[in-house]
Amino acid sequence: MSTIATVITQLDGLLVEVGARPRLQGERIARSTLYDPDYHVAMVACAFNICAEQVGSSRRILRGWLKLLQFVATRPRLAHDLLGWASTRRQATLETWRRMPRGYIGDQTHDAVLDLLVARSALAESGDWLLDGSNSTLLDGTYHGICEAKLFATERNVMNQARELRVSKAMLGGQ
Amino acid sequence: VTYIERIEVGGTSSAGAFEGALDITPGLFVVSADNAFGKTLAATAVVWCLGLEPMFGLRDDDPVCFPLAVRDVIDFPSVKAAQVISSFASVTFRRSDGARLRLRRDIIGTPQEVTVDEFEPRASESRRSKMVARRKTMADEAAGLQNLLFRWFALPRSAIMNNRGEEKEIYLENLAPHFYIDQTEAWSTVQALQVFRYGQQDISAASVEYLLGADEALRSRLRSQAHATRQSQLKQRASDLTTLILHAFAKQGWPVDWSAHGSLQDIISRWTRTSVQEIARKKFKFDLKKEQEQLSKKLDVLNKRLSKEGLDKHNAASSSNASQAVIDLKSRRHALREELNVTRTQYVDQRQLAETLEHRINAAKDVLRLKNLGLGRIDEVECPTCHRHLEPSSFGLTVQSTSAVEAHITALQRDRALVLDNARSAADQATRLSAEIEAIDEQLRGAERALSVVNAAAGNVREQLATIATEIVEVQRLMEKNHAVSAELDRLQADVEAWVREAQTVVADEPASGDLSNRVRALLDSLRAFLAALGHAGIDLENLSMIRLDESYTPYLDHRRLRSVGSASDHARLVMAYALALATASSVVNGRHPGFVVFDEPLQQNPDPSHRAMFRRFLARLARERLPYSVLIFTSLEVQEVEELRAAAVPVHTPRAKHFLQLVSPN
Repeated sequence: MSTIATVITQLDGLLVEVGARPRLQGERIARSTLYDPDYHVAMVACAFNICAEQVGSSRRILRGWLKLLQFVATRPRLAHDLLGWASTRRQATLETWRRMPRGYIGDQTHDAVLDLLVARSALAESGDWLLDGSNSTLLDGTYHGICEAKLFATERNVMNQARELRVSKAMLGGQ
Repeated sequence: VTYIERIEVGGTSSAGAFEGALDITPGLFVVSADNAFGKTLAATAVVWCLGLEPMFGLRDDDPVCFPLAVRDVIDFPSVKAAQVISSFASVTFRRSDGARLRLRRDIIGTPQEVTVDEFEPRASESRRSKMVARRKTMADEAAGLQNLLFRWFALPRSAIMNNRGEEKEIYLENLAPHFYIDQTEAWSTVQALQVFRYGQQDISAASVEYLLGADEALRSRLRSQAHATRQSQLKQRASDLTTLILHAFAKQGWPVDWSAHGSLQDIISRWTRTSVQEIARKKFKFDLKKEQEQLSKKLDVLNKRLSKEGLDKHNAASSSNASQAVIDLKSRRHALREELNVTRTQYVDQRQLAETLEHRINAAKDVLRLKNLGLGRIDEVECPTCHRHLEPSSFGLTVQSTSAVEAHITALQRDRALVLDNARSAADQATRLSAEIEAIDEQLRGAERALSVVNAAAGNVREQLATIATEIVEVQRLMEKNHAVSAELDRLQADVEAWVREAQTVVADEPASGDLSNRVRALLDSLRAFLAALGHAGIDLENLSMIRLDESYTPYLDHRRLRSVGSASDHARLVMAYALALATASSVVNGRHPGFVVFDEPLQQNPDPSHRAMFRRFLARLARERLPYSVLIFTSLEVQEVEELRAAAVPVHTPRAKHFLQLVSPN
């Protein structure tokens, strides 16, 4: 018996013990779009176009900030927590401290998508910063296409709210 | 044809009396004078005397639409900065039967009043009266100015619904934006000066229908508006009634599926399928007769024990029983409260989860569209170092197919249905628990009263009697409560039935729309002709037939609003074409247009030579066509242009004086 099947059998036993009636639905195993690279590319395009700062003729954004932004944008319930935490983090209390979404650090799909975009020259790396790559029109075109087709309105709305935040590395480290 | 025969403005100043007058002939009449002559002053006099200042967004009787020369300080060639002491405007209209109407209204003085002189045909004597310019201008049969104007111009009064569902009228200032085109604001779009602040529903469309004489369409519009208002009121009442029913059921701990969603027909269909008593009986096993029978039996037993049966003198358990009952009820209440808190937390969590799932579904649908549109797809990557072809999988990424995303959406939708179902169950459970806690509270109060009575009784027998008595009271209370519940259900059902009867009459009374097609066709034909003649840049012979009017009579070129077609200077052409088309169509279909159109500075938007030449050709054409209404144009033309127009039989008036207002010689 495979490990997953064993775990499911054990879980089934536990649930039956407390009077539950477990039912397994095979259809649910469809992989979430949260792991889809196209979705991540779209989020990076939106975040870069909405929140990157202009420096001379190029734009740049902190790698960690981009990661946090796309993470929160795809989970808009966290936006309120992030904004609340950011506004009170200098007078942090136990109540506000826990509101910083920290799960984004383990988002490996995003990291892989960034590697892909850097390899495609859509973005360029410089230390902690991500800059316009020689082929940055790829992200710009994607972003304008998304706006025209009115896609990901909630995600873009979250990013627009977050653009007002003053971001620092200390903040991204949860401090 | 009704036309403006004369415009006068005058007054007194510190330098003496001053005046200016303009005599106008019927048909097309062009007044050409230099800038600062006072053309707009003369044009404004027309709307002022008609009491139409709300068109400019002004409060009643506020003359700020006039230049300072008639309100404050005026310059004459001989005297500079003379103080204006009083001023007035006067306009005379002439009807085709020869009757004349002269309106005179103070600018500085008492602008609240308008002096009206009515001249019968061929009479030299007039009937003079004082009218109130703005206050109750329609409602006052004796002194309301608009009341008189509608009568004199033979315009019928027409009702329209406002946003509060009250019946109001179409006022002259709602019609005037179609025949008075002001220099400053009115050239930007059709009906730019329409007055919306009175809250009349669909006033833009209704004003067009009025001028086209579409009385049946207007009546139908009023019926539709009344019908919609009635429907909305009924929906509100259905919603209120639903709240009462849900509350009544919740009080008993009965979660019920009763709503006021959907159309009236939907609600009628749902509400006639069952009754509130039937729901209580079938779903919650509330049968008044059976309940009361059981309680009556219990009451008989208690009464028998109280009156006939012997009591055990040695039974001392009454007090401890009463005390235990209180303790049990308190424990039960505590447990229920705990359960209610957990249920409410579960409900909130389920709702939040449902919200998150909703977002996930929307995001997944967007991802599907993104993939179908091919946006942001990165299929090929070349390694910058070794130039090897890399795929997303080289980076540990798996691109999902559209069918995988569709499967994910289906799974999410299933999850959402499940979560919403859970949330609904939690809400129902919370309703039941709340009602149960309330019932326990009531029982507890009874038990505490019983304990107090039993404790006050002296001796075992008295304690037992007190216990029986309190039990009798409790049974009687339950019987009364059942009666009250039943009476409340009966009352609610009676309200539901009354609502259904009323809603059925409203649904059956669906108003039919009035026939407008001939009138709108006349407007559309004229509009196309005038747009082509004025040289609208967005219109040519190919697309002329594609011009159409939407349900509010806004002109469209195929699927684009005509206002967004062509250049910015075409806005003025569209406004002029629409105003003339409406006057023409009204004459063709025997409509309600007053018969004159005033344009102030039509060339200001089109000052270049080619457009001026086009405009002159247009005026020459208007002069040839012998219009069935009057067109008064205030503009500024060059000497050659005036000669060219006069040669084409266009009546052009060029005042000799430099300014409209002149000092009156004391002699």
